[in-house]
Amino acid sequence: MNQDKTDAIKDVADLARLNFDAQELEVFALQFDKMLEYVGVIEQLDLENVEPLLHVVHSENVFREDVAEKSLSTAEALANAPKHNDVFFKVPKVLK
Amino acid sequence: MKSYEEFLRSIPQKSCIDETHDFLGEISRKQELNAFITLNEENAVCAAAESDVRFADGRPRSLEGMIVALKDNIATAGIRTTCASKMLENYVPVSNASVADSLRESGAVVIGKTNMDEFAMGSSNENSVFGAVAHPLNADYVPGGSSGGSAVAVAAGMAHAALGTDTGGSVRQPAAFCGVVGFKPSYGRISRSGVVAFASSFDQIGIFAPDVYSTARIFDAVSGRDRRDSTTADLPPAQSFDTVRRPLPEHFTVATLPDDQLEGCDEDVMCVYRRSLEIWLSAGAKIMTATIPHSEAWIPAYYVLATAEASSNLARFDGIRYGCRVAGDYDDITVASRSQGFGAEVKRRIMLGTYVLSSGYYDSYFGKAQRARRLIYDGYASIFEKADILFLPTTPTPAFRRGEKINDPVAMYLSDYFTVSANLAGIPAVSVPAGESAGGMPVGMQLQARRYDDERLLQFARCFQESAKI
Repeated sequence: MNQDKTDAIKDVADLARLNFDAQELEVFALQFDKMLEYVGVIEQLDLENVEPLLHVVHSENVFREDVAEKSLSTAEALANAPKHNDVFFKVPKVLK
Repeated sequence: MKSYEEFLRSIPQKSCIDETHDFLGEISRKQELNAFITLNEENAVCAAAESDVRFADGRPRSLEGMIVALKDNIATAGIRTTCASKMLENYVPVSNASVADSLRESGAVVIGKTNMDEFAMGSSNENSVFGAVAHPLNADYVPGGSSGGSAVAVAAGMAHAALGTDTGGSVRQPAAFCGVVGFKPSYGRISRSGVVAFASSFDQIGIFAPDVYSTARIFDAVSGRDRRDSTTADLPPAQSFDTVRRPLPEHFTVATLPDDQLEGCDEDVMCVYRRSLEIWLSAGAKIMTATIPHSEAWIPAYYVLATAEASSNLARFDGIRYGCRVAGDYDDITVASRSQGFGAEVKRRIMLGTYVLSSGYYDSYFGKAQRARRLIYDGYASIFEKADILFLPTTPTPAFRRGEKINDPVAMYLSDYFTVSANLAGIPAVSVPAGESAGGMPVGMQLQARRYDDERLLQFARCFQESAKI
C-alpha cells in the first residue's frame, strides 16, 4: 500500500478519533477504496441548479416555555459512567 | 407465527400468562436462532397478569396482552440496551424510549430485547457483538438486517409483534427475508425519543407483525406528536385500524418502476413481482410506469448522507460518561475506547462519514448527495400526483447465505437498493410477504405512498396481503 494513501487514511482516522493497527489498515484501505469508488457516482451527477434538501421535515423551530423540568439526578447521570465518585465522572490526570 | 388477532379470539379460554409462557418456551427452544440479547421474563409475566385482570374486568386497553419484542437500540428503563455493541454492552438506560412508554400504557407486554447489527449498521445481522442471527428456515442463511432479531422473533413465533428501526431498509428488508409484514411509517410519525441515533434525518421506528391488522393496532398506539422529539409530525395519532378494514377504492392507480430499474433483481423475485402485478390488475388497478430519478445514485447518496450523520451522532461515545472505557492516558482514552468499543462496520461508516464531511470533499460528496436527495424527493412527489401507491420488490434477492457479503461492504449495501429511496424522501413504505423463491425462501413486495398517507398505505397493504394469500 502506498504511503500517501496510508497517511490519508490516518488523517481521517485522527479526525474520527479512531486508531487502526497495521493489519487492520491493510484490509480497511482496500474496502475504503471500493466504498469511495462506489459513492463516487455522486461526484459525476450534474446537479448545478438543484437546491440541496437538508431535511424532509419543513417545520419551524419548536419552542416550549422556559420552565425547569425534571431531569436526571446526579446518581442517575453517573450510573453508566465507567469511572466516577459520588458527584463527578473520573478521568486520568490532565495536568502533569 | 402466532398472531395477536388469533390470541384475541382465543380469550378467555387462553390467558395472557399462558401465552407469555408459550412464547418464553419457544424462545428457549429456539436459542440457536440468537434472536434475543436480553429477556424481560419477570416483568413480562407481571404485565401479562395485569392484562388477564383487565380482560376479565372487560376493560382491555388497545394493545392489551400483545407480546412485543423491542430492538436493542430502543431504550428500556432498567433493562440493558446494548445496540449489539461492545461499546454499550453494560448500558442500562434510566428512562424509557417514548415508544416503550406508549406500548406499556396501551397494555402491551415487552418480552425482551432483540439482536441486531451493531448500531443498526448492516443488512445481514452478522455485525453483532453477541453473534449473528440465523434465518428461521435455514440457519445457513441470514435473516436480513439490521433489525434481524425482531424479524426472526415474529417469524419464528417468539412474539406477536416487534419494533425495529429503519434507516435505509432495516425493517422492510429483514421482514421480506423472513416472510412477515414490515412497516416503516413516514418520517416523523413515530417519536424517536430514546432510540439510539444512527442517521437522524433517516431513522424511523418500524413495526413487524404477521399481518397488517396488528401492524395498524401498534401504529395507532405509538404514533403522534411527542414533545420529547421535535421532529415528530404535527399530526394526531394514527387511526389506521379502522382504515385497513375498508375495501379498496373502486378506482385506483398503482405505479411500477420501469424495467431498467428492476434489472438487478433475480428471477425468483421477478416471478413473484409479475404474479403480484396480476393481483393488482384483477383488483381493478390502473397500472402506470413511473421513474424515480437517478436510480444509480440512490445508494451512494444514502450512504454519503447517512454515514455523515452517523459520524457526528457517534462522536458522543468518548469512553468518559457512559459506554466502554479502555484504560490509558487522558488523550488516549477516547481513541482507545472507540477503537476497541466499535466493530468493523461501524468504524468503516464513521470513517466514510468523516471523510465526506472533511474540508475539500464536503461539496463534492455531501453537498451533491443533498441535491440528489432533493431530486428523489421531488420525483416521488410527482409520482404520487398520479398514483395512489408505488409497487416494487422489497429486495433484489431473497435471503442470502451467511458470510457471502460480510467482507464486501459494497455488495452488502446493494441489498438496500429498493429500500433507501423511501428514507431519502421520508415517505411511508411497507413490505408484505408475497411468495417464495424456488428454494422455499420468502419473497416480499413493497408498497410506498405519499408522505403522511400511512393509513391508506396500510389499507392497500392489507388488501394485497389477503389477495396474495401467504
